[in-house]
Amino acid sequence: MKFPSVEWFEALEKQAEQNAATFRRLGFCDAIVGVKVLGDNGASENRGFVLTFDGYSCKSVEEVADPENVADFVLEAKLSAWKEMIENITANGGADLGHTLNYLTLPGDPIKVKAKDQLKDDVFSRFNSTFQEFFDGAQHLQTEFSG
Amino acid sequence: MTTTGATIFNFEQQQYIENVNRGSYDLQWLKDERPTFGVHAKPKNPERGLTLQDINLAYAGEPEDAPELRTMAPRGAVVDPDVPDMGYEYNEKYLVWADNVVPLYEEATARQWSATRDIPWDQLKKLPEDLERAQCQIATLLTEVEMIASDFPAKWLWQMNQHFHEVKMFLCTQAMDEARHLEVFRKRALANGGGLMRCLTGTEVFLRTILHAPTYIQGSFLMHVLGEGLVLDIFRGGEFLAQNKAEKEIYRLCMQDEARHVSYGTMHLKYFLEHNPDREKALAEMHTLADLAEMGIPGFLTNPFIVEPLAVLMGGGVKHIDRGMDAVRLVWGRMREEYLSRCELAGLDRRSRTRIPADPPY
Repeated sequence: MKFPSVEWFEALEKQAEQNAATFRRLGFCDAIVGVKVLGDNGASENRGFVLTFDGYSCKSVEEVADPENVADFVLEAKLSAWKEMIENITANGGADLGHTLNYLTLPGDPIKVKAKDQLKDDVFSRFNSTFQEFFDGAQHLQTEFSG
Repeated sequence: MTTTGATIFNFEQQQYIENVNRGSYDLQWLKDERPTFGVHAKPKNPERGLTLQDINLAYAGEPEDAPELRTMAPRGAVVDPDVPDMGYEYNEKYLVWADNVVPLYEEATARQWSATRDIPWDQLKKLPEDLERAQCQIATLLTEVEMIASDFPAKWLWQMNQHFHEVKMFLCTQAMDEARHLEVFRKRALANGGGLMRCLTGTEVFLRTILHAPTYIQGSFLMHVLGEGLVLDIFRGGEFLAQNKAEKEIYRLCMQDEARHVSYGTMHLKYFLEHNPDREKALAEMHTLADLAEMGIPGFLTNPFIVEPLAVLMGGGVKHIDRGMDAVRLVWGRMREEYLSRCELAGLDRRSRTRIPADPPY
């Protein structure tokens, strides 16, 4: 399954459904999360996605040009950074200490959290366990990378 | 039995008992007016269940700006005309409300966790002494400071009119969250050999300032916006502090809770300023408070008992403390920027007035 693609995120969504008990234990999550994958070779390769979390799962995935227009916050990084994170998740059965979303975003590099205001930025912190569990589902996918 | 009863029951009660014994019931409650009769609140999302938003939407239950009664009677109920005054002092919505408080309450109850069950304590491993001491110094600090956010709401809860029950309920979740934070950091300090370490006078002075703030808004600003905002950044930085999965989980789960409290505080400040009958005066007073409160931040971030353990953990040991200071500088910058952004969002623009240095002095 190719990353980035709607199909890849939908496959994560299915993993989350199969892991419903864990997501219920974490509690519901209301957030619109943008994911921006920057091409390593220029802006023409940029891809954007919007993941809508509602209740105990991710309800929909859409590809959009500018996720920042609709999302509470956007996780933005180069494809190479996403690749490293996903490969780490796959290798370790979940992100290791140095590859969690929070670890990778805190310095603003390699992944940047972009939000219109601080309240929306804080949404990333409020539901962080849910987002991490969601991306950790990548351990069950066979991911190929574009480019 | 009869003799005792005669001394306990008053005339009306005695009459009622006699009526009941004759098989004659009052049943007035069946004929009473029912302002919310016919309301059938339905879960908007059945998977989630029936939320406060659902019931508020179903009967248009937004609280009034200034309720007449000072009672514990639920909003929407019929109230006896001679109910006693509870002595509430916070009877106006702008003094306690935040527009996000209802969903935040639901979020809080849905995302509770257990410091006993949900931390993989078996993942704690023996650490080199410098790292263990550093982790325990931070754990001691957090054990010390977190409970203020239980004590503070507890102090003000009874003074808030129950008409604004959602605020009181949210603050109860906050008190529970912070009890759990005390629990989890105390457990961490005592679970891996390091033990409890030093508590600092400066920290206690700041906590006392919050606890004894003369008004709720002043204390809320000090605690929710400034203090918890700063601690939220430490929790986010916990990703760098954690030496194993147990510690990572501790910081992440605490971060989620803390972010809710900061969100309430920011939006309460916004509501307070926007709906204050004398907005200019309120704004000036909040600026004066912030001027003073911000002076405490450099003291916090230049205290070696705070900064150096952070740097040791972030750098990976005393040998790498310089590397760790880079991460501390990062946290300093984030803390300042996020604090200023929250104030700005609330309508309290501190950017031109703050004396918190943009660049850390080390």
